[in-house]
Amino acid sequence: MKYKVILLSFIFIGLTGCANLEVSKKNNSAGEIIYKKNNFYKKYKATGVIKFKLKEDKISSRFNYKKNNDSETIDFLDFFNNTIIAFEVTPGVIKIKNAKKNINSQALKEIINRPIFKNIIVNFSGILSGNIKDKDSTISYKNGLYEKIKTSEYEIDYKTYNEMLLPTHLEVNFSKILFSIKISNWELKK
Amino acid sequence: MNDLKKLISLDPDNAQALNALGYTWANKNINLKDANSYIDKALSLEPNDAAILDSKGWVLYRMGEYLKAENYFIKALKFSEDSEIVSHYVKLLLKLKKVEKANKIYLKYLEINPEDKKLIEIKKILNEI
Repeated sequence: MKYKVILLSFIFIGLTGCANLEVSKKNNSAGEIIYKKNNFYKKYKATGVIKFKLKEDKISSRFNYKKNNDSETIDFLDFFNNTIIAFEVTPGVIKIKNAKKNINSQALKEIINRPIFKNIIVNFSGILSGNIKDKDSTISYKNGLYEKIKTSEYEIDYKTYNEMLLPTHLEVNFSKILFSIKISNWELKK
Repeated sequence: MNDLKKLISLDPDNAQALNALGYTWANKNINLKDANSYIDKALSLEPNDAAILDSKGWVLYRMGEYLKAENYFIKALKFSEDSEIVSHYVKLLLKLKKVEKANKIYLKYLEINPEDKKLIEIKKILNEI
């Protein structure tokens, strides 16, 4: 596979594109659109894949995310469902629940060891659902669902939603670490 | 290709350039011995790089070393869930007559990446069986 030679150019284009992002809210044509809003759930499971683009490396991991009120778990798995690393998050505390003895990916190690990774973990639920407290600006689709959210630390671009109005594909620019999240399954609990 | 050769002559330890040239040859089914050497060197510099692991699997596939190729694709997929790696791995599994496994890998990838264009190619291969 030879994609990596040109990857840097894509990252550059991506960053330049983000820098020119328009941050005003779009107008909605009144009368024609049923206004919707992002749903924020307290108990749910989401499974999918997260793909990081870091320097020349392209690495990905599947994830199982579970939220139960203030308690969250995130398991990162490889393609064959082996756990790479799993976290338990309670307010203010991130605990490693389970980790491969040797995470033999330098790129993944580099991501995990960065302070920014903690922010991703802590904000994971907010990123998935759009439930973010300190938003600098937002852009919404015509139907009212979030299209982009910008905070002082990161930008999220919500690409697609499912019929339950839950996001299924988002792109995140988190302090120049670019990653995409695809959610294949949402399971909502009462 | 000439640019890559030039780049390698200036920077012989450039794993990405070594891999790109080796993969290009492997993909064109030419200079397979040299391609294998270039990719081996890239792999010695970046042993856990998904793209290089995939190239190694692919050059072995082109050389008919199917059994050896499998481990490289498995390792590559552990680092990066990429349609090209999946496509190569499915092609290899079919060569190894592991049709059920090929379908399983295809469906596993499909569940999370239903809109991937490369899937059409994979589906076509599987439908031809």
